[in-house]
Amino acid sequence: MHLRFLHISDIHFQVENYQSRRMRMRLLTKINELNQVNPFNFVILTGDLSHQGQGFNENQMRFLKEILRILNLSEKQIYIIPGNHDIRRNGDRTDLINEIVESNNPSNTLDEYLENEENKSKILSSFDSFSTFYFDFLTKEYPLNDIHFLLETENYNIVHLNTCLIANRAGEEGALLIGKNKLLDCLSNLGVDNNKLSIAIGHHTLECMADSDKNAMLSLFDDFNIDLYLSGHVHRAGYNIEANQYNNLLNIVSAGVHSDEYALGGFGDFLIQDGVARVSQYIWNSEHEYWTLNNTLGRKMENGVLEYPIPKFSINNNRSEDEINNKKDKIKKELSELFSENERIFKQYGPFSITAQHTPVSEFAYMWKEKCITDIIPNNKKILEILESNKELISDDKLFILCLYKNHIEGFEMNHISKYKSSNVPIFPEEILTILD
Amino acid sequence: MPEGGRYEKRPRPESIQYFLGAIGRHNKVRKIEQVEEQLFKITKTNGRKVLVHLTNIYTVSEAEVIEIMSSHNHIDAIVTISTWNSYSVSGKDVAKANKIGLFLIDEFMGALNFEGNQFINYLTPYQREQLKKGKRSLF
Repeated sequence: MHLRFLHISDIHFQVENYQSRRMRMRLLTKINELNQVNPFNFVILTGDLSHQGQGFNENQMRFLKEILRILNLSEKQIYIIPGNHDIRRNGDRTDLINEIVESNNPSNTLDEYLENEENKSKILSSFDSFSTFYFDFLTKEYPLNDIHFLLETENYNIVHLNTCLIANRAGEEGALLIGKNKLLDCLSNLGVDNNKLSIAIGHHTLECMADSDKNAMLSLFDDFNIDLYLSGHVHRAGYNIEANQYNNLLNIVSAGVHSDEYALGGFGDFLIQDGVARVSQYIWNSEHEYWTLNNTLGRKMENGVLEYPIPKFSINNNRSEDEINNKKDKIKKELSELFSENERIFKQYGPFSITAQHTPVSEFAYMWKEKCITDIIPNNKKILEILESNKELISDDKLFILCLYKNHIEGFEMNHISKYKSSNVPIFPEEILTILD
Repeated sequence: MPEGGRYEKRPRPESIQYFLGAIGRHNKVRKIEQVEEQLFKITKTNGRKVLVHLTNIYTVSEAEVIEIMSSHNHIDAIVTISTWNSYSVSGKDVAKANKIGLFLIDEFMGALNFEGNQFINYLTPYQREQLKKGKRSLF
């Protein structure tokens, strides 16, 4: 699998100070550069497109459309969830949230309230403008009523989480609730044998959730094979590998694309290849106004890139690596027998044989010509057939050897059985003997 | 198959000795002289002269024939000495069109029994037999 995606969070569009405008402008240039080298397959936006509930306007839409245009992606290739700044507070919802928070078990109370249509409607009432923007931009409804929803594609799953259900005030980090029953409903659609790359996206980091809900999220992510959790909100980039579960979970936090006294601009670039996630975080250099790799996030990102073998794929990789090596060994043995036989004939009868070195005229020359037709040419064909039908075992940087070999055996055959002959036929490429190493 | 390495285009000394000996003993040949490293003058018993360029090119094709021709004012034949060697149809045709016989050593031994076009177009008994059977490639 080869997937590359961009993770952007916390644009806070209404923040329009000089640095924010510059980092957005340069973001477009930077992602264009990155896309030229290795195209992105999709984009993830983890909330807070808006600032302090000021809603959505044409500027946000234009900027996001520009990102898609630059990356040559369609609206189907961008995944968005709401952040706490994308919602509008109202009295009814505030009262209900207070009831939840003050109850004996807020986590269970939220679960209950989400089963009640009237309460659920009040909780979701703050998401109207986000839903409208979502529809206008992507021309499809945000399934707000489902609370959390799963989007499945051929190669990956995106679990859209709404972490803002009870978000309503400053300083609520550490007490937020996920609506764990609804999360279970959502993840159940994946099935426990989910073997696709599965990314959960939410606005808040796991640390922003109440302990009860953080634990529930981790357990559910574990049971339903979620590989990555991508979030934003804290305006500082970071990574963390949750290893207290059966499966590890990689958490990535993207910084924002706006500037204030606290925020450090940042975005994430993910490459998933051969079962390994390679995560690059970029940071905004406000002094010289450019995006650069962020190597300050921890020892595992010393070079600016975090390499994380996704456990689900690592198991398969190990198994398939053994299978590949066994297959290679078998083929190498088969090829070695054919090469050895050809070499024996060549050394015994060929134009460089001891006999040929000592006399220009010998019956060996006729034997050689006959052996070429009866043995060497058929062996060459067998070798080529074996290699071509096992091309996937040849590393990309060695595929050219197969072409050299093909050219050689084609010319060799022409020189021996056709009326068209040439001294310029490529000689035997010795590298073919180690093509599978 | 490992058909590689450098193949020496110039005949080895032992090949030249073989050529001088074999041709010198031919019953239609009175004398053979080495004029240059690769150029030999054969005087036949009927007094006719045959100028031969001796080579060890592994596969003599059109390009090699033209190259050899351009290095001499006149030659009557090109012989590629080793029986491991061969030539292409186009090489043979270009040589014939220039009234030059292009031969392997065994063919040349037979061709020396003839003159003119019969010399240039000479086929060994095996080649004639193959031709009768309709096999396209005689070389």
